[in-house]
Amino acid sequence: MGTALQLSHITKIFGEITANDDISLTVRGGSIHCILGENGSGKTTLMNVISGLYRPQEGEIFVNGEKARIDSPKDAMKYKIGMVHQHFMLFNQNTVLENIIVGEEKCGLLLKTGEQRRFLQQMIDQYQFQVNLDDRIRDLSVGTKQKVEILKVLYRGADTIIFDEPTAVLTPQEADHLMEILLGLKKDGKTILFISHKLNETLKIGDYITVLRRGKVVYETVNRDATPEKLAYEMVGKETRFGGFERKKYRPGETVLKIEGARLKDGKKPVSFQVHAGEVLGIAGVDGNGQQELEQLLIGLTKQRNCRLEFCGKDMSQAPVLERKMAGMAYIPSDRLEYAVMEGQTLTFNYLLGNHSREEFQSHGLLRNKQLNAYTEECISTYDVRTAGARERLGNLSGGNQQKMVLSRELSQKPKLILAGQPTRGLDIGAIEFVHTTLLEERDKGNAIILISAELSEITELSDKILVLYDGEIMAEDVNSAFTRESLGLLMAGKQAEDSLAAQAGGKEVDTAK
Amino acid sequence: MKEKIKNSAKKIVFPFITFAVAMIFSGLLLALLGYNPIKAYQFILLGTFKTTSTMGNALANSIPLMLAGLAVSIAGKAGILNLGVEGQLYIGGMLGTVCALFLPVSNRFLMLFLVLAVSMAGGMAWGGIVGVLKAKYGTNEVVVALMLNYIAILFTSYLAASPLKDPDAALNQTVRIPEHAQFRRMIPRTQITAAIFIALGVAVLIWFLFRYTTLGYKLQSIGSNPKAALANGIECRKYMILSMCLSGAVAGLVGSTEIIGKYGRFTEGFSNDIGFTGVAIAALAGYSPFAVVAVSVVFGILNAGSLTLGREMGVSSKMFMVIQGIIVLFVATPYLIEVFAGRRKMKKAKGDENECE
Amino acid sequence: MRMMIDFIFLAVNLAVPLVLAAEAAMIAERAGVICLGVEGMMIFGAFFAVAGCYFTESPWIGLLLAILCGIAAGLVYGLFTVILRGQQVVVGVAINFFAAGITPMITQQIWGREGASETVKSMPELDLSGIFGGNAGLSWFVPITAAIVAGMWFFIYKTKYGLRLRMTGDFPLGLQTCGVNTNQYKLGAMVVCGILSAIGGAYLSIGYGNLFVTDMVAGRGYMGVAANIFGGWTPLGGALAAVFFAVVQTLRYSLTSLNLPSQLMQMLPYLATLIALVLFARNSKSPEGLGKL
Repeated sequence: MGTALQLSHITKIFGEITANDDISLTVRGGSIHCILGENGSGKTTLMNVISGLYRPQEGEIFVNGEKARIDSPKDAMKYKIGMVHQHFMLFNQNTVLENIIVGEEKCGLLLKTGEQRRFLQQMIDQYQFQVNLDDRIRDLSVGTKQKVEILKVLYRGADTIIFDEPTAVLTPQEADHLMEILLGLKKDGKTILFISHKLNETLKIGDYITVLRRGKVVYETVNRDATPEKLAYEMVGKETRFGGFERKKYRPGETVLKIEGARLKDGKKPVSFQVHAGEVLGIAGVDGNGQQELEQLLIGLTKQRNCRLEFCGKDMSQAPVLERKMAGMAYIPSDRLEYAVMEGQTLTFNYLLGNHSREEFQSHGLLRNKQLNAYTEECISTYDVRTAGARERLGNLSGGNQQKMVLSRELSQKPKLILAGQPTRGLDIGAIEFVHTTLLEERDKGNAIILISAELSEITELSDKILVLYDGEIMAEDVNSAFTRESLGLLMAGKQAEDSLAAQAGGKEVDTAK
Repeated sequence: MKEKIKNSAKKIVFPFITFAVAMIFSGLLLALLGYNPIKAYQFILLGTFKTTSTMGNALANSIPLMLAGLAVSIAGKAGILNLGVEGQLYIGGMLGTVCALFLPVSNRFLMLFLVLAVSMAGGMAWGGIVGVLKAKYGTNEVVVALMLNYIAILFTSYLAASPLKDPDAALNQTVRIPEHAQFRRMIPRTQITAAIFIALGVAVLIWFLFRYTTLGYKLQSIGSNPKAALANGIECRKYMILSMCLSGAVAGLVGSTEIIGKYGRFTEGFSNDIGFTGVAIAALAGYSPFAVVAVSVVFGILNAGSLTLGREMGVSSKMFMVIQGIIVLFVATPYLIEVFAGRRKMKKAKGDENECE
Repeated sequence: MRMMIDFIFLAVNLAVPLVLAAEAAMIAERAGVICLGVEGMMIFGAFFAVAGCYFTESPWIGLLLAILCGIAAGLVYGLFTVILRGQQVVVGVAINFFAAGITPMITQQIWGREGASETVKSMPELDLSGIFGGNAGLSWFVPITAAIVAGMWFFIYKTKYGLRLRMTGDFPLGLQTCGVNTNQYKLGAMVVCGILSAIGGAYLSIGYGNLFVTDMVAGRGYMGVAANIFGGWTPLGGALAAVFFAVVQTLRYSLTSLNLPSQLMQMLPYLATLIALVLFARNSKSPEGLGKL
């Protein structure tokens, strides 16, 4: 097969940021072409250019050798290009069928769907998708939603399908299943563009691999010539260590936080656990299995009558957020923009948030602006927050710098417990490393850390103990070394652990059950 | 640093452009209706600056507007659009009047203090209802506030028409309140009274509140991002209610200062949409208290001028409302002003907005 | 019996503008635009219906002019909210200011007085006295309104454009990736919203009455918005809620025998709206993308 898609000199600029800088790329028909790059390297922007959501300032796109004008998703569809977005573009209130056909209903004014239903059912059977066309999206699991997205693209007759970070939300097993689907699609002659920041899956599935860094193509190769080291080097632009942070020996101290009887989502069994000083407790699980609820329950945004929470030996079950923070809980919310910062306000304003009742910054309701300004400057310089100054609007900062701002605020008040939700989501590798080292430093100082993350590698690298959440229940809890990537994957998918663990860790199973 | 200068320049220049554009549009409308807009604006200015008395009255006109604008600003900083100032000022005004009529207090200062305090309490309660309903039930504050306006206006008008009616008057109004419960005119032949110091004092207080107190900080933070405020221990509901209470209290002052400073009694419909003008003023001033003071003076001139216009050219005094509508419309659409200011080309902005998704 | 029939006829007549306002708010908000400008567009409708009627002496042309103005107002409203991305709540309020200001100005210009227009010929009534006896007149607007409600229901739930409109209100970005221009749907919804509001206003001035008075809309637009919320953002729910408000308004007229002060009676519908909002707004579910673009 010849060239399915060719990009030539694509440049896309947002304000002062050049997201795509003179990118040229050739995708062969019937192949799986991986675009590898870390967060912020311009992968998603490029794909949005191809799928017509963004218009580039410069550059041309050729489809099957002919120059194509793609100004909207509709145009992209015309050229048989479809995209499975990282954040699903689905309508919770509507049925699977409605979601698939909308925009391309193939009917007159009235919604008549008999024909489309037969056509889709055939497709579902062919790929063995196990999707019911009449289910509402809000009732579906993440994996099924992704299948709906794939069906949507196939229904529109796409020959070239873009997958944007498709495995980010899946368990390892679901991801493996997706790989099979991709291979099946390839066999049917589809061309696949696979966007990822994960080395191993790229190596596993890609025929061709292109590496993006800071908006530029820095490396192109075919699969058999690629090595993980080389790819990692190109992606980051410098040597990276794989894992292996230096840390003190794991010696848990006294219990810092104890929670009992928490009900998360529809979980039947209540959730109870504790975390000790000098310990990182990793909470693993696919997004949406009760992490959000747990996070909010721990910090006190929600409260439950039968849930008991003890912090440093004090009963804080009904304590309001501020009391918990003042007692030494630091909180890095998983949704930064929503729960941690105020984008429209200055850095100084943001640094006061949560600290507004400390004696240091106020007395009798009057603000001590001088101290606050000094504190802001200090945080900015110790954490190297890149900003034009303390009076800059926070929204002008990059994601990594916003996260640094939050970290510096939360860690500067000598917390005893750090509740970190998805602390590296959306950051580039430099920032991720910074966050990881900072968290481990805190652990070594003897603080307790609860790390909630959907990123499996983050959990296994940082945690002393791991707890797996599935559907609002604890599937397993044990020290890090008791788990393998596979066993964690199964647990995250809700499969009971006994068999797999027993097979690998011998007598360990008894411990796990406890 | 560059950013900072750019931002503050933007802050200062924008209201001027907005105002200018609104005046041009209103002028066009006047022309469409067959009036000469240049002559009309001349009348407004000449009418204001003719004598000390006309200037004084324009200033006097701006006092209630100032207070109303400040009332809207307090709630606005906390992220709530208080369209209920109109109702709150009627409640405050009526309670103040009742106080002045029936309290057996002969000490002038005590009396004035009580009247003002009671009217603030009344406005506070009426505004508080909006806050409570929004905080507790998530009801739309705009619709609730407007319904409460109708209720307040009708209820006070009932009181002025039946139980408290001055039997000798044709209008629905109460009897005159005693002399010692009224402000004295400070400058002869103008309506300027001590109310102006109250308005300026409130402006300073609000400025202080938002700059130097934790309460102000908390109010501002729930206006910026309620969820983040909540996650950092600021009880949104409580401060939402509080902001509406404060806002209502200032609105209550509008009512009582008008009555004890200007009319000497409660008359049905005395406000003539001051509460809504406050929305336009606060919006144009970007909720900044000193800007509210400045904008109010301009609006006071426009208000007085629109009455002159009616006399001289037969233009309906509703002209004033039209100008406000246009101003609010433009303030709500900053993007449009950027286009007028030549900062942006129409087309470019469109694609870019998506990037935050 | 006679009283009962009169009561029902009055309630039905009073329900027309509220139902239309509720449907107007419904269609706009289903497309994701918070719509407080119904009030202002009703004022425009009321005014231009009378103006059209005054100059041509045909109420039907008056209605047509009102509808044309509704289209224009809806387009302007849509321009400021959808294309120029203004703050939707504030733009709505601004439109209401503007309408409340400009209409008396033109009234003054045409009729030489600010508060009210001269009387004009009003729309003919369906004479049902043969069936119900007495003076049982029903405005032509009543069947039109009923048809509009049914049409709205059919459009929203049974057509592909209705499906797209609902999706626009829930998740516009999602629909854009399906190749649908969501702004077109939002704009379209605003135009329909303008038309319905204008018909509602026109009913007040040339259907129920025969002149334009400055404050004649008197918050009915806002009540319509409330009815839409109360009715859970559905065509039928909104209509039912509006009818409920109309019944409360009717009470005001039929309780005159009790000799209660008129101001207090006038308060009733506003009070009812307030209570309904508090009691029911909590449970209803708004479109997920309401207010977002």
